[in-house]
Amino acid sequence: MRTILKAISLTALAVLLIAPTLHAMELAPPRVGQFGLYLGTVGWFFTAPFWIKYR
Amino acid sequence: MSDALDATAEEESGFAANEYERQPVPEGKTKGLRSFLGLFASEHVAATELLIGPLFVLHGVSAFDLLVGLLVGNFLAVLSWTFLTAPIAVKKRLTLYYQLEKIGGPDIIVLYNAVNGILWCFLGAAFIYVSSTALFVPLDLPVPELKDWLPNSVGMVAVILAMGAVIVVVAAKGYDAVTHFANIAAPWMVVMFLVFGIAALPQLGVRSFEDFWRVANEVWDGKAAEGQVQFTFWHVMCFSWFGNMAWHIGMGDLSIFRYARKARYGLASAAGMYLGHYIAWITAGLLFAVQVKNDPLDTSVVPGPMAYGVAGYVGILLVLFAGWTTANPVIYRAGLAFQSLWPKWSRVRVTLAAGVVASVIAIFPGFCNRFLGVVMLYGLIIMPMGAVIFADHYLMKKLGMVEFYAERTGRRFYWPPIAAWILSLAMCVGIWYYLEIQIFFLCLPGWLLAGIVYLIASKLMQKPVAEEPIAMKEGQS
Repeated sequence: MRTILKAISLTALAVLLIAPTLHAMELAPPRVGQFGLYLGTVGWFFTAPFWIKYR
Repeated sequence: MSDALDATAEEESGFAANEYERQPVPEGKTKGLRSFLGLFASEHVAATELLIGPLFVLHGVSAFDLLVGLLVGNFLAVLSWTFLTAPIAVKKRLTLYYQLEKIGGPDIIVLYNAVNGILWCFLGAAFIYVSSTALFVPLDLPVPELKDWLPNSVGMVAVILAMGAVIVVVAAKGYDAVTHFANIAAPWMVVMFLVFGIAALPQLGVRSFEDFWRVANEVWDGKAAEGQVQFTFWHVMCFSWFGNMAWHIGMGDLSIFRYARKARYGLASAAGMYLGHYIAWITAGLLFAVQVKNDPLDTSVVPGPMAYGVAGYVGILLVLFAGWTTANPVIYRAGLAFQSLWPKWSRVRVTLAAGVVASVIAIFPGFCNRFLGVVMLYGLIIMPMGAVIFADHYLMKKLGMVEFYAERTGRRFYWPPIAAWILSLAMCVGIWYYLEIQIFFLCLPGWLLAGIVYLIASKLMQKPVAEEPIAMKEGQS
């Protein structure tokens, strides 16, 4: 379960980074970049707390 | 109390809390390089990067001076951690506070905490201000201009005080929860700073590398805004080298690197320097450039609206989180530092009081509009104690003197470190006033002067001592 959540979190970060990059490279419209920011942020904060350890 | 401060630093960083405060960290408890890479990457991508990047633009840095100056200055900062801080930390494996206590006696720690507490209130104010600006957009508040010293609306004061109240109450009562949240948010914040840069580029008309260089020369055009000091390559280099001087040449990170297996782990600081003090400063400058492109008359440095202009509400979220998660430990540390002066006072109340002071400072935008000078002043005031530790570690024995003199002689207060502190700062003020040398260039001479004064004063004051440390004598100085 932890591995799955970690994979989702890292995918979310990748989406966060890739979506605005696609827009910057004119491969996607601005709304894709903006949607990627929301999706990546929600994806990260809804999964990362379950696997990042508090030491 | 200094032990509690160290524990705080360690809690934030994920390094063992409440352990080995008055003894060397055992070899078995040391950590690998990855721990330090993660720690530096998250610790040095903070809210105030959003102030520093735009201020470079306003100080008229040219594109070449910025890119190369930051490259060189950050490299020198990494070398300072690697060759000055980490070797002492690995050799002694003690916290800054405990090492300072051994050198100057317990009473010196009280003074050090008092100074640190005051300075942390100012730093906390900057973080509260940055966080509050996240609410300027949804509340449609007018932003303060670059030249403003005073708040420009009742709404602004109310928002900053309300934000300060929330941050301070949480720091006083729910410190752990925010620290936990900061751990979770850190990787997202690092990526968000990259996103800021990427998202800003098309808005500035960048479609290729050639475009980037052309636009970079327009953004960092080498012309300072009215009323701002003209920055050169040397300003950028010195600022990026000494912006964190309290932690490297000031030896603040002894508390972290005492956990390092090898001194070369100081190189891990490159993760923080090049992500936080290179990429994040550049991307923050690009955010400001987008704002100025949209409205050439808007030269205000207000992170919330700037981030919103490029990344929408997610940008606002970053400003809010970055400010809050960095204000939390600073306010908490300020509270602990003041509590060390009056141990019978409640920690919660002292933290609340420190937070109130920070919140009141935060309502003055002029303070954050001059943040580069504030950062240098903070480091300059704290750094002489690092020179004392360096000189004590490397030079005392070589010059026929005794290291850890206060501990060896059982003194509560040993004058030479204080003499080094006061005289080096006084000399820096003299250099600044009479020779008109800017604060950005005072750090290195100040550090060297502190070390020299400490050695001379020690030579004058030290007497032969017994082989073993003797018990502390009450009231002796």
